[in-house]
Amino acid sequence: MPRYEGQTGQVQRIVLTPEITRAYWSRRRAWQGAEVKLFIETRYLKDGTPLKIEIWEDGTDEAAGDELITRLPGNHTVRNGRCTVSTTLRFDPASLGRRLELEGDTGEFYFLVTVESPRLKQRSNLLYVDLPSLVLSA
Amino acid sequence: MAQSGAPVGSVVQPCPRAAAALTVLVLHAEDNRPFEGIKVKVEGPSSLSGTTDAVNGVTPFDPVKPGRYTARATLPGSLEKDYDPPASGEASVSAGGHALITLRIGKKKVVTPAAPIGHWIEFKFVLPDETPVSGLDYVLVEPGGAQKPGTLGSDGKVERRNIPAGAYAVILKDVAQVTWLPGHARCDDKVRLTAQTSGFPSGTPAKVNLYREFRETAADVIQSLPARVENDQIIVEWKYDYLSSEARKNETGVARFIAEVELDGGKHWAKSALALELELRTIKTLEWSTARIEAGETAEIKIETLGFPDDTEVRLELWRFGWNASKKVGDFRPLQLAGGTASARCPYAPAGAAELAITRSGEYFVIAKITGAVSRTARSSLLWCVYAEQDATESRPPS
Repeated sequence: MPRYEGQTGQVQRIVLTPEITRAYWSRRRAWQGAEVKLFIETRYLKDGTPLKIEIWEDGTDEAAGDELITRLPGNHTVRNGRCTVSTTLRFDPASLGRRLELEGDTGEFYFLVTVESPRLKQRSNLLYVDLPSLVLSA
Repeated sequence: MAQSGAPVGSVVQPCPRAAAALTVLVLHAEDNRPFEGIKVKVEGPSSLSGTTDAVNGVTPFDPVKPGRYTARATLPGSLEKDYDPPASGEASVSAGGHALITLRIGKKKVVTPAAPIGHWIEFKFVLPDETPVSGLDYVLVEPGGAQKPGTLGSDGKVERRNIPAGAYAVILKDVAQVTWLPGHARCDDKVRLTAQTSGFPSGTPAKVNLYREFRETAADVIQSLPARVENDQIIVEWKYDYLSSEARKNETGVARFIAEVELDGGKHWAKSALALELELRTIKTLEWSTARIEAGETAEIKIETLGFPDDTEVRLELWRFGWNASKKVGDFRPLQLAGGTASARCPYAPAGAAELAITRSGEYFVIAKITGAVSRTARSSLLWCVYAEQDATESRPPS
């Protein structure tokens, strides 16, 4: 555990390694249009450290590269080692301005958290999003 | 005007004049500025008093009787702490003469104690990009063992000057390495959670919050456990109460739990890096060893479960499938789970057998039942028992 020894007459320089320890969605699966939370947990990042959050579509199933969906707007910062962000899943063509290349009607999405200084990056687990909107028959 | 280096109470020779007069001049000793508002008392052939004026710092006494005079100044109470007590001055004044007595009042000298010559130490906490680390709580351990708490400032430093020589240590207040032991268990098992702490004395209260993985907001806490730091460790034991509600009783599969250890009301916290995987009471599979057998062969029915302890009794029923209605053939001898599994042999013996056997062609399945606080039932796939010549009661099934 973090105990650092030193003798009088010396300067002890201690380098702490900051981390984004976890990044995860509040759900494993959701419908298009649902509100989900993004959780980010860190260590040794001071309060106010800005976070950049991007949502990506995982291209593994389509044997294609990952596709940047959106960069979450707003100022997201660390507070007591955590950051929680709510967002509504809008991955339909009307919202995105383009159609996603998906294998079927389900997309697998992750989010990427980046800290500029110190330089850190963490990828979340996958969120399965069912993209067709619910159709209710009369 | 007398110089500042002149002795206090210097005397100026009187100048000749018709009437005797005495003037007392009061000056600041440092720069010879007039000192106003000082009460002056002269004693001699005449006893008189006055106050120095604001312009010249003088008090004139005119006329006075000839003779020798002693002048004393008195500081107002508000100045006593900052100025030395004024000295007195003397002068003789003759008939028709004028004498001047100058009094200087000096500021008290501020005695600055010499800085003790001691030792120093500095700990500097930085991130890899040299950004100082701020806001972390720490404890400074002195050579004698005394512990002084603090918080890293914006410069990331723990700095001490004029301290006794020796070895010092900085312990960051922290909690980490939250670990489930074992990491995979059955729902009836008691599991242990450990966490390493630093900078917290034994006895410090802590709290362990338990969550289902990924459902980890404050509103999602499924249980909070009180805990305490003992020798830089927190250890709690926990058993999932899967009988506490119908929803929990009905849940099957593997549940994943995250533990969060909190100290200082949540200021310091850490979560388990890996979730606890807890097997809930589940019949995972119930399968025949083969899909088709002929007369004289034996099929095996195998059950695989999760979460049930060894020796749990499993009852298997053999059923003959019918499109309109299936019919129970009989019960297997009760089985006991070992390592979560159990199996039974089922011969296709048209001529009959000593134990439960299939005697007619057709399709057969098994229903498994485990009863107790949590009951589970499962149905197997179908086993096709091919038509046999000995089976006189059945017509040959379509190929």
